Amino acid sequence: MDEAELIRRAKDGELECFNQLVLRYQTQVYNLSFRMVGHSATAEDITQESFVSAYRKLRSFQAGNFLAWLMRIATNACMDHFRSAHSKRNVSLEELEENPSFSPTSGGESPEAYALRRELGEVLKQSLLSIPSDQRIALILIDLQGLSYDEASQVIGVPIGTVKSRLSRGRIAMRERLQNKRELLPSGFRFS
Amino acid sequence: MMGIFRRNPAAKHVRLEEMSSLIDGSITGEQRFSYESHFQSCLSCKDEFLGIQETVSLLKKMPMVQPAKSFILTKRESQESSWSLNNIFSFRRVGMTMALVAMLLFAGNLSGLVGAPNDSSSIQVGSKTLPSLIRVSGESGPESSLSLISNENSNDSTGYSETFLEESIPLNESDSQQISVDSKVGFELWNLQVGFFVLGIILFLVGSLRARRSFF
Repeated sequence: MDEAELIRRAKDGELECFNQLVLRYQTQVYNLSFRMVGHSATAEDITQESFVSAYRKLRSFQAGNFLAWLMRIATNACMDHFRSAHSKRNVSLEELEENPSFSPTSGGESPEAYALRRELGEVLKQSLLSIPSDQRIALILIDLQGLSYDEASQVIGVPIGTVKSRLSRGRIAMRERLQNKRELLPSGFRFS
Repeated sequence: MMGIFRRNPAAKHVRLEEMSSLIDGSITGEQRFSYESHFQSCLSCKDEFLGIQETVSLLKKMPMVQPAKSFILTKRESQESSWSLNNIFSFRRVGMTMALVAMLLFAGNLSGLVGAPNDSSSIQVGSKTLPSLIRVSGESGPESSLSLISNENSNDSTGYSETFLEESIPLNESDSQQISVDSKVGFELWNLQVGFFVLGIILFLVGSLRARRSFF
C-alpha cells in the first residue's frame, strides 16, 4: 500500500495503517531525536510523543511530504524538551556506552582500530551536542539524514537561505570542535 | 576563528557559505568552475574548503542508530490521543480560559453589571411568584414602578406573564404587593464563579506541571 493510501486510511481511523507509517519512519524520527538530545531513553520518549501527537493531528495534514511533517513534529518536541527543566539531567556513562555513535566493528578490524573509531564517534556525538540547537538540527537533517535544503526548510519552518546559513555555521562550529581532538581524527584531516 | 565571511572579501575569496553549497552540489556549473579555479590560486581557501568537506564527510559517516523498541501505537494510546483533554496543552488552555472567564465575572460583579449577590431572579407579587426579570425604576414611593419582562407562557391570573411581555406596575406603599428578592440564587452564582476560578487555576497548574514548562 502506498503512503498516500496509508495516510488516507489512517485519517479515517484505521490504526493499523498509521502504525505502518510509524514502522516506515520510526528510525528517522528516533535518530533525529537521539542526535538532538544525545540520550536514548529521552529520545524514545520524544519519538513516542511525536507519533502520538502526529496521530492526533493527522487530520490537519494535507498533501505534501509526510516525513518532513513528522520530522517537524519531532523537532518541536525536541525544542519543548530543551525548554523543560528535566533536560538538564546528566547522561550517565552507561547510557553513552550503550549508544555507540559508530556502528560495531566490521570483520577485519583490530580491537585498537575499533576502539579508536568508537572514540571518534563519541567525539563527533559530543561535538554535535555542543553546538547551538538551531545549527545542530540543520546538520542532522542535511548531513546525517540526507534531506534536501527544501525538505529541511519545511521541517524547521524557516526559509532555505536561513537553513543554508545555519548549516554553514554549524559545519564550521563542528570543525572547530574537532580541531581539539585531532589525535582521533583520520590522518590528513585539515586545519587552518 | 574565521567568520562566516572571509577576512578579505575584496580579494574575491570564496565565502564559507558558498563552500558549504559547493560541498552539497547546490550551485551552478559556472559557479563550481569559478570556485575551483579560485582554489588553484588560493591555498587558504582551498584548505578551508577541504577542512569543511572532511568535517561533512565525517558527519555523513555517523550511522543511523536503530531504536531499541517499536513506536507503534496501541489501541489505548490512540484512544487517549484522540481525547483532547489528554493533551497537556489543553489543560493549560482550558484552565486559563476558565480562570479568565471567572475573573471577568468577578469584575462584572464588582461593577454591578452582572450576577451580584443581591441581584434578583424572581419576584413575588402577592401570593404569586413570577419567573421574570425585573427592573425597578424611580425612587421607592408613589412614583416608582416595577417592570416585568416575562419569558414564559403561564396563564397567571395577574395578567403579566404573556410571552416576552413587558409591563409596568405602579407601586405605592398602600399596595399589598411585596417584592421578595431571592438572594440565594445570587450567592449560588457567586460560589459557582469562585469554583470556576479555582478549578481553572488547578487545571492550568496541572497542565503546566505536566508540560514541565514555565507557567507562561
